[in-house]
This record gives sequence, C-alpha cells and structure tokens, in this order.
Amino acid sequence: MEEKGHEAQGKCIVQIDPRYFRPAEVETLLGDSTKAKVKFEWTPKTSFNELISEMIRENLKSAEWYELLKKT
Amino acid sequence: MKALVCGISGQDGAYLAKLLLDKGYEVIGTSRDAQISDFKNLTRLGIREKVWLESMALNDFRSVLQVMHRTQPDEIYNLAGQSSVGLSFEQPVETLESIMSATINMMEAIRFLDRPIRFYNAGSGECFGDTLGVAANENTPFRPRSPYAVAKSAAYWQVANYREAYGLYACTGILFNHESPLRPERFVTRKIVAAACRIGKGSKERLRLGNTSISRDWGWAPEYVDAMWRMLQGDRAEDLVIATGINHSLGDFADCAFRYFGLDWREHTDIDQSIFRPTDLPFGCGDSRKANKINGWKAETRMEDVIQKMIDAELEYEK
Repeated sequence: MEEKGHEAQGKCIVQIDPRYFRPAEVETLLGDSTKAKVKFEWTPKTSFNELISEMIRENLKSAEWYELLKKT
Repeated sequence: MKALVCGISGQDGAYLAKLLLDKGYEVIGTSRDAQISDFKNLTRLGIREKVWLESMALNDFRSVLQVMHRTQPDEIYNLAGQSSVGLSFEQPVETLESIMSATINMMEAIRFLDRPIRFYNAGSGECFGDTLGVAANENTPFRPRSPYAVAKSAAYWQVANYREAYGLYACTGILFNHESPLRPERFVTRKIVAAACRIGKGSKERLRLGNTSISRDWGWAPEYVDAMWRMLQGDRAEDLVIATGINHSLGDFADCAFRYFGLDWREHTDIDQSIFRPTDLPFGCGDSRKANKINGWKAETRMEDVIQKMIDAELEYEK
C-alpha cells in the first residue's frame, strides 16, 4: 500500500490509492489457449513488453499533442 | 423475529411460511400484486390470516427497497421469480430478470439499508446440468442447460460475490426437485399424480408425457423448506446442496403412482414428442452430505413416500 514510483528527478508519479481496490478481486488470471491453437492455429504474437511499448508510444503521441496545444 | 418471504404464494413459500409461523416468527409475504393474488396455498395450509402480505415487484428496485425498509425483516427468503424450466425457453429474458436481477435488487437494498439482514436465495440443482450420472455436490461445476438454469446460476454467483465483497450474510440453497400436493398441475409430478387419481377412479383420459427416460432426485417439499431455515441459523453463510441423493426416472415416478391404483402407467400414457424440451438433463442427483454435517439436515422422505403422500392428499382434496 505504501509503494510509490518516482521519476528521475524524484517526483512521485505512481502511487497506490485504496479507492481503486475492488470489493472482491481476482489475484491471478492466466489463460490456456491450446484449444484455439489446435482448432484454428491461433497464437498470440505480441509479447507483454511489446504490448506496453505499443500502448506507451500511442499515448505519448497524444500527450505531446496535448502539451503543444497547452502552449498555444 | 421477522421474516420476509418473497414468492409466498408458491409451494415453497407456503410451507416455509407455515414452518416459520410455527417457530414463532412474524411472517410477511410478497407477491407481485398482493391485492389480486389468491394465495390458495396459504389458505390450504390454514395460515392465510396469519401472514401479512405486501406487493413487491422484484425487477423494480424502488419497490424492493420500499418493502424492505417498511417491513424491517431480520431474515429474507427469496423464493420468487419465474419457476418453470419449460416456460423459460419461451421467456428467457423475463426468467433472467425475475431471477437474477431480482436477487441483485434485494442484495443491493440490503446493502443500502445497512442492517444485519440474513438472506437466503433459492438455487436449483438444474444449475449443474448433465453430471454424467454422478451426484452433484458443492464442488461440482455449473453447466446449465436452460434459460432458467442459467438465471439461477447467475444469481448464485451474484450471491457468492456479495457475500465475499461486502460481507453480507447471504447464501444459496441448491435444492433438487421437491414435490408436494401444493405443486401446480403444470409440474409433471403433480400432473402424473392427478391423472393417476382420475384414471384410477375410472376416467378414460390419456396421460400425455414427454421424455420419460430423464431421471431426477425427488424429495418432499416441507423437508426442504426446513433446510432453508437452517441455512440462516449458522454462524457463517454457506451455499449447500439439498437433495435426497437418490435418483429415479420419470417412468419410475409414473409407474409408482399408477401402481397405487393397480394400473400400468404405460397402458394409459401417450408419449408426445412435441413436449420434449429443446435441451434437457438426462440425469439429476444431489449429494447433501455437507448440509448434513453443517446443520444436521437430511431428507427422510423418499420418492415412493412423496408419491404416496401426494396421492393421499389428491384424493382427500377431491372430497
């Protein structure tokens, strides 16, 4: 609960907020898609890290655009 | 102690009301429109005047909240909602709303009122679906095969979730089939008993049945409502299977009923394919050992005795 995330200059940018805790939570979700692989050859192509990189890249674009708009 | 019985005009509601009254409870019962319902079952059990009746629309949160707030019950038994598996194929959404959404409404109202109300929800052995010839217990997964069973399954998980998330004393009784003279005639067990009585007395009518090879675990309703009451008396709310543990085919049921009059059911029955269900459970049987361990409940009345009692009551009622 006391965990915090800081950026290079020491400013806190990630924090735990108890309000986001769900009334009941699932600690671990992990799926086995062997059936999909066997039935129609589906396999995931994007790794966990690639997924995050892609989402960050897109969000960075809109964040930069937003910063630009704020300056004008 | 005050109990609110939702769905008091049905078989279980009436027997439960009687059981609670005998234990000294004040009983308030609800139905959709208490002014025009006839409450035949309450009258038949001689308790019509001893029960206070309120109108409550299960799918209308306003109504649910108002009734609970006004009546201030200590215990709530939710026995209401569309109760026919067969009809649920024709009315899948009405079934889902009157069973699942209604349960959510009641638990949300309990949460809102923030009072220590104990909540019993009526589950069903139908939720287990086809258990491949094995008696189902609390760890058997749900594989529902009708809109009714899907609705009951969803309601079961809602109750479990509210118990875990908000600490409500809420539990579901997973009851297998339980019969009595108060069953409406559209339920096949009563339909068979009533036909057997009429044919036994000389009627030339034919009994029309669907799939007679399906098998079920049939018990005596008054014992099953006792299980419901026991489930709200413990320190902890627990979901339990309530059943006899013995399985018979519908053919066996009919055979037993007709033999009471010295008849062979096959000679008086036509099998009608049009009343077979779109999907049906070939086998249903429940294992109640956990209930027995936790609160001492056990089914004493077997199918043969159930049929005997139903026939006796049918003949008595006709006089």
